[in-house]
Amino acid sequence: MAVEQAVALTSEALRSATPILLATLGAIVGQRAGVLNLALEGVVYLSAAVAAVVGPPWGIPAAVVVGTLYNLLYYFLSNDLAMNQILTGFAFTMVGYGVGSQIAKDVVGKPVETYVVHGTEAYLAAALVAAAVYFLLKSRLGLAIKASGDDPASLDLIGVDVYRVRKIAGAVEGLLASVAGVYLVYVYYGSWSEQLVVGWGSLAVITAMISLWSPLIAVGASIVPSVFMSLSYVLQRYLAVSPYLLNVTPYAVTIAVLAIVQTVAGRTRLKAGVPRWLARPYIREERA
Amino acid sequence: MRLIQRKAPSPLAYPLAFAGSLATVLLVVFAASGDVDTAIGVLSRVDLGFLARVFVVVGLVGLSGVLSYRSGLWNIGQEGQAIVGTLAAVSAKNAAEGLLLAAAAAGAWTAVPALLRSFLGVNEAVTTFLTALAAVYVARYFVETVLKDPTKKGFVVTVEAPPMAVVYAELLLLAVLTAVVVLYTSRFGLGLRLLASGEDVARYAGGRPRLLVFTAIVLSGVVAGLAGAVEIMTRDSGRYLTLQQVSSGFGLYGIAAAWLGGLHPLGVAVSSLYIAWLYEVAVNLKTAANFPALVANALIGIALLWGLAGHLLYKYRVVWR
Repeated sequence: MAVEQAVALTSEALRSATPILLATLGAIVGQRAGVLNLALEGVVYLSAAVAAVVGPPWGIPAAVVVGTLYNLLYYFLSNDLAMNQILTGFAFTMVGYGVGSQIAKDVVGKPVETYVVHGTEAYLAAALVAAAVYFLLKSRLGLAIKASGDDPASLDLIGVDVYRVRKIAGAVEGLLASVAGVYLVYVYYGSWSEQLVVGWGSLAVITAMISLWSPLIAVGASIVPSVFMSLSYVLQRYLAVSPYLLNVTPYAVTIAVLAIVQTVAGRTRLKAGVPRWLARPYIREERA
Repeated sequence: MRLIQRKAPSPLAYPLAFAGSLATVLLVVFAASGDVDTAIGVLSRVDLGFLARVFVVVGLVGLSGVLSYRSGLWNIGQEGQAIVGTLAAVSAKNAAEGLLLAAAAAGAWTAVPALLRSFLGVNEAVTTFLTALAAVYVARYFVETVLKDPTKKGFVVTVEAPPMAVVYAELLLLAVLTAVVVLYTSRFGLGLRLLASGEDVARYAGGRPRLLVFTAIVLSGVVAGLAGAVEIMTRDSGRYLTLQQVSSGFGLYGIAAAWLGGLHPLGVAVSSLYIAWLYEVAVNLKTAANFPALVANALIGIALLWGLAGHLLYKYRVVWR
């Protein structure tokens, strides 16, 4: 019985870790380029809404195109126009909620034809994507992305367009976050509701930091919040604790892990991996 | 396209941002309403009492934003801090106690990200945002257990918060606004504002960066908590919380007000009135054209974007070449 429960818990944790991992990989690419993108929540929400409205299979490309373009618009405002990254991201999430809820209001609660997966295979597919992102970041483009987050002025001086590099990173980030949105509707929930995404995209921004911006570590780090999300459902059956208190644990644990990782990273050689220009816009005319 | 720093900041930037925001909202409302009569009805129907309430709540959160952002610190968890303030107010016996408890509870709630930022350097934007998400579940726990009204059998609602007249709420807003202005004229307030230029700058000016960072974030949380208390105590009726209604959204709208008001206390007062009107427009859209409640977020998100654009244009010229 205990083995069955452990298997069920693992399967459920992997199912919920999949969209977090996909969005985290996107956030890793973006944060390596120096962009702290809180719009990711809005991108996941909007693409999930589009996927729900269009339905499979055309909902997949439609959601990916809409989500990626929305993310690129955020990158245009926060990088080319140097608007505050954190608050612009916040505004994009608010607009994403409003637009997403409006376009999908007629499909609330209606079941969507789903792709049945049990957890392991979906997570393995996402882990393969993580490997692909890892190799992307090892390429010349990946080096340029890292340089734009560490020292954009030097990158600019050797003739590489920092704004273009960041927008390429934004396109990759938007694409991966959109796929996470599609997954939530077509695989995880099987229907659309206004509360469907709340928190998933935001968690990805933090798991990218916990992963120390490594796609391979992200494979493990994405499981941290999802295990606690799954545990909160499973434990409700066995503990006389309010489910609402159990629902707090993924956020509390994520904050605790983030604090530990940042403290350790700040005092060891790992601090070299922290993007030095994270959340700072690059303004070419102010190049030192 | 290039950004050229202005020799002197442009005073026209924020009025332009207001005008741009208004034009965008009008465009959205006319496109969404379908016909001119409905659109005019949506834009012109105003409940003054409701507008005054929302104005005070958004204004308080806006001032919370001013306290944080002018110190270069990114408290974006005002929604959660307001929720905690609301819970504290529900458990109070009278309005004065409600305000005190809300300030204390929200201050304690915000102390966690403040301590993490001050002593461990953990990004406060991320932690305040996460604690705001956690606050929703904490509040539902309190609604279901400690604060549940035992007389409402079959319904999960809290006991009622004590009432507070809107005029007292307006006086409170005025008092907080005056306190922020006075704070910024003091030596400590100068230290807070110098934080935006870097902790080293604040240290060279004789301040203690850790204390300043902690104080700025906690003060910001305290004011957001007051906003939550005011929101529930100034309702004409139904001064209780249900499981679904723990998050009012005003915490988010106040952030937009802070930026649209140019991070100036008086500017925030003006922009809060505008945001309150936008909220009323969204409510009208919901009743007249069956739009989801989250559409209010879209309208106010657009206002926030214009506010940020105004902040940019205040310092830079955009040259399209």
